[in-house]
Amino acid sequence: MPFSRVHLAFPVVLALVLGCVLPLGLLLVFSVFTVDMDAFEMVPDLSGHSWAQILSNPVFAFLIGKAVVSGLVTSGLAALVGYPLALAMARLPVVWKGVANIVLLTPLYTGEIVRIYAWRIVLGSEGLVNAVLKGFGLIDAPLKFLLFSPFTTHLVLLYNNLPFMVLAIWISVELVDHRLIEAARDLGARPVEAFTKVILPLTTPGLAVGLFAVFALAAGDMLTPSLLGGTSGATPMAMIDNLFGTAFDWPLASALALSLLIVLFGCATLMAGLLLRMRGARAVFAGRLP
Amino acid sequence: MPEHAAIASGAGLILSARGLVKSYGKGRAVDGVDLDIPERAFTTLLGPSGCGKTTILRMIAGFETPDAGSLVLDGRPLKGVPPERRPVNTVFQSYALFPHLTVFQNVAFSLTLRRGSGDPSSRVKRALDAVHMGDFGARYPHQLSGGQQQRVAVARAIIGEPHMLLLDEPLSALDRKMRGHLQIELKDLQRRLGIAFVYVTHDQDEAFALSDIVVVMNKGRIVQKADPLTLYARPASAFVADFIGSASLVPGKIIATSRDEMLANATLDTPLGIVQAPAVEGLQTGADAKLVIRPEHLQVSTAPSALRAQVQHVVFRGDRFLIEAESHGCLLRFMSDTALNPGTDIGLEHDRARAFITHAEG
Amino acid sequence: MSRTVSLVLALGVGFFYLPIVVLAIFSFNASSLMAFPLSGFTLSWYADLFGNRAFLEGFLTSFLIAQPVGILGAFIGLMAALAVTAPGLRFRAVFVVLVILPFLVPKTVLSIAQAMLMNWVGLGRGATALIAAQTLVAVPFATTIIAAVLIRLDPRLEEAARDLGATPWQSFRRVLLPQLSGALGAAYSISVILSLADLTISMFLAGRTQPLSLVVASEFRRELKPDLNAMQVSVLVLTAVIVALTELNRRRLRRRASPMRDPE
Repeated sequence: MPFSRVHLAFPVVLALVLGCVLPLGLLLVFSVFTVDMDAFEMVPDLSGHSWAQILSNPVFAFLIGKAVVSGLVTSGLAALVGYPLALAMARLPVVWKGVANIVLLTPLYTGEIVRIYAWRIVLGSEGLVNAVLKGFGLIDAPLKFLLFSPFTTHLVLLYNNLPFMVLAIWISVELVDHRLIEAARDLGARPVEAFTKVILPLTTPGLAVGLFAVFALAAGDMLTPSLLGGTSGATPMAMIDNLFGTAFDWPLASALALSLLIVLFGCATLMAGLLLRMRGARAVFAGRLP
Repeated sequence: MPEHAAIASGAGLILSARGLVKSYGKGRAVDGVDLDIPERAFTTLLGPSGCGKTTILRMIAGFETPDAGSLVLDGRPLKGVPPERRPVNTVFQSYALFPHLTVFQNVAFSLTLRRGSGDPSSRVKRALDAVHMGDFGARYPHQLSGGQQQRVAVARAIIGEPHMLLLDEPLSALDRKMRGHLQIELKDLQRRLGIAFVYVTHDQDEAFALSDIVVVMNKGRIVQKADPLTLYARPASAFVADFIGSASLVPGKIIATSRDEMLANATLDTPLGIVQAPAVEGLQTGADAKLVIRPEHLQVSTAPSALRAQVQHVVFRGDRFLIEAESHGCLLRFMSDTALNPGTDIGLEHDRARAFITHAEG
Repeated sequence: MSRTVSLVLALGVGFFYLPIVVLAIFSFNASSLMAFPLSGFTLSWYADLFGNRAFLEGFLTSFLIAQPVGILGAFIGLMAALAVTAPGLRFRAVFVVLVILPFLVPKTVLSIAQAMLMNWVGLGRGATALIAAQTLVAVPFATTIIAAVLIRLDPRLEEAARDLGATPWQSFRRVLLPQLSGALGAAYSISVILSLADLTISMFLAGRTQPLSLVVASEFRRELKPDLNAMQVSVLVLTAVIVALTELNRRRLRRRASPMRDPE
C-alpha cells in the first residue's frame, strides 16, 4: 500500500496513546492497588478498597456533583452571553472580523494565573467595582460577596471560557446562508422569530460544540475555584491533587480521577448528543454530505 | 459502423475501456462500461448529473480506481499507474488553478517538477499564446475573470504535450456568451494539437457544437455512442431522444417489423393512430416503444387528415415560438412562426419519413 | 451596523478587557497598595522588574520551553490535520476524539496521571516532561487551526498537481504546504502562547524547572504586589505582539494567495 496522508495518523495516535491514553489507563490499574503506609509506597495488591470509598463516602459524590453543576451553570451562562456576541460579530464588515477574532482570543492567551490575579484586583474590597459603587454612593461598605464566593468563581469561569463558546457559535452563524435569514424576514418573521426559527436550529452544532467545550473546561478547572472561591472553592481536582501529593493515596486519587472523568464525559456527551439529534443539526450535517 | 467512417479512416484507438465498474456505497456510479476513444477526435461524454461520466474521466486520469474492468491507453494497461505517470492531463471543473502561484508558475508547474528540465519560459509563452493569455503571466488566478482562468487551465494542461486531454465540464461556470466563445476556441485547439479530447458535459448544445462523437450515458451505463447527427435523428432509446433536443414522445406497441435494405422499420400502434417509420434495431413485435417526432418535423395543417390537437403552452424562443399541444393524451411539441392562443384547436401533420421509433426504456 | 450590534460588541469588549485594563492601570500606579483611588504615575514597577532575577530567569525558562512546544505542536498538529482531512481515514471519529482528548480531560487530572506514569516507569520530571505534556495540550488547538484551512482548500488542487506529473510528495511540498504556511504559523503561535500561559501542567511536571507562571504563582500566594502587575502587563504585551504578528502574516499570505474568486 503506497504512503498516503492517512498514514500520518499513526505517529499522532502513538503520541496521544503514550501521553494521554496510557496515563489515564494507568489510573484504572492504580485504582485497584493498595498503599503500604508503613513503607510509604504503593503495592500491587488488588483491592476494591478505593472504589468502595468513592461509593460510600458522600463527600466524593458531592464534589463531583459540584463540578458538574459548575460546568452546567458556566456553559449555560456562556451560551446566553455568547449568542448575542456571536451574532453581533457575524454582522461586522469582513475587514473587521479578523480584528474581532484577535480581540476575542487575546484574553484567552493570558495566563491562568494572570486572569485570576486581575480579577482579584477588580473585585477586591478596595477594587474597581467596590470603588465605583462607593463613588456613586450606592454602598457604604464594600460588597463582600464579590470576592471568594461561588459568584466570583462562576464569573471568572465564564470569563475564562466564554471565548470558546463565542467562537463555536460564531463559526456556526457564519456558515448559515444569510439569505435564509432574509427569506425568513421576507416571509414575515420578526428578528426574534428569525433567530428562534432559523438561526438557532441551524447553529445547534456550534452550540453543542461550545457547550461541550465550556462544560469540560469549567467543570475541570481547579485553580479558579481554589484561588477565588474562598471556602466554597473545593473541587474534586483539588482533592485529587491532595490525595496524590500530601496524602499519598494514589489508589484513591486514581479512583476519584476516573470517577470524575466518567461523570464529566457522560454529562458532556449527553448534552451535546441531545443537541445534535435535534432537527436543525441533522439538517446542517445532511447538507454537508456530498 | 457507417457513422464512424470519417473518424475511423486511418485513425486508431487511443483508449479502450472494458467492463468498467465503480461503486460508491450502495450505488453503482459506473456499471459495466465498454468504451473506445479514437485518436485525434473530440469525444464527449454526455448525460445528466450522476450518470457516471465524471467518474469515468477520473478513472482515466487516475484519481479513482475501478472496482472492476480495465483501461488501456496507448496499448499500455493503466492499472496501478499513478496519475502523475499517465500521459493524460485534465482541465478541471472550476479549473483548480494553484492560488498561490502566478499564471506563469501555474502553467510552468509540470515543467519545473523534474530537475534539469531547463528554462520553461519559451514553452510557457507558447502555451499561453495558444490560449490568447500571453500578457497575463504575472497575474494571480484570483485577478482573472472566469474565462481567463479557464484559458490558463487549458494552457497548464496542454504544456506537457499529453496524448489525451480530459476536460471535466470546463465551461459550466461561465456565462452563455463566454461559453460560446470558448467552445469555438477549444474545438480549434483540438484540431491544431491533433490529440484526443475527452469532454464531459451535461449540456447537449455544447456536446453537439464540439464533438465528433457523443457518448450518451444514463445511470452508469452507455446508452448510445454516435456522431451528433445520428444521435439526433436515430436515438437509441426514449431517454436519448428526450435528453437531446425537445422531442415529442408518443408511446405505443409494436405490431410489425420489417427491413428496408439495411435499415429496420416498424409499425407502431399509438393513441394517434398506426404509424410506420424507421426504427431502432432490435425491436420485437408486441414490445412497448416510442415514436420520436422532432419539433421541426411537425407543423400546423388545415388538411382534413390532420391530427386534431389543442394548444396548451406557448413559449417565446427569440426567433420562433415553441408550442406544446395535446392530442389524445399525448404531448406534442413544435415550432411556429406565429403565437397561438392556449386552448385553440388546431390540426397537425408530421413528416412520417423523418419520425423514428425507438425503445421505450433505457 | 445597527446600534444593538455596537452595544453588544462594546459590552463584550468591556467584559473581556476590564481585568486587563485594571491590571495595566495599577502597573503604572505610584502606590504599593492595589486600591482606588489612584495615587499617581510611575514606571518604577517596571524598573523593579528588571532587577528581579527570579522573574527574569523564569521568563527565560518559559521562553525556552515554549519554543519546542510551538514547533512540535505545529508539526504534530499538521500531521493530525492532514490525516483527519484525508479521504479514506478509517475510524475517523475515534481519531478525532483521541486528538481532542487532551483538551477535554481536566488538566489537573491529566497532569497527575502523567506524573504517576512517569514515576512508575522511573522517568524524572523536568523540562522534557513539561515540553511533552504542554505539546500534547497544544495539539487539539494546532490541529483544529490547520484542519480548518485544509478543509477549505480545493481537493482538486492536489489532483491537478498529480495530473501535471507531481509525485505525492511534490504535490504536498509545492501545492499544499505553501497554502498552509499561515495556518502553521498560527498553530506555532498558539502552542507557544498556551505554553507561556500554562500553570497547571507546570505545577505537576516541572520538577526543579521554574517557568515564569510558577514563579508568579508562588509570589502571588503571598500577596498582591505592583511589580507583579508590571510583569503581567509585559507578558501580555508580548503575547499580543505574537498574536498580531501571526495574524498579519496570515493575512499577507492570504492576500497573496487568496482562494479563487470570480471577479465577475
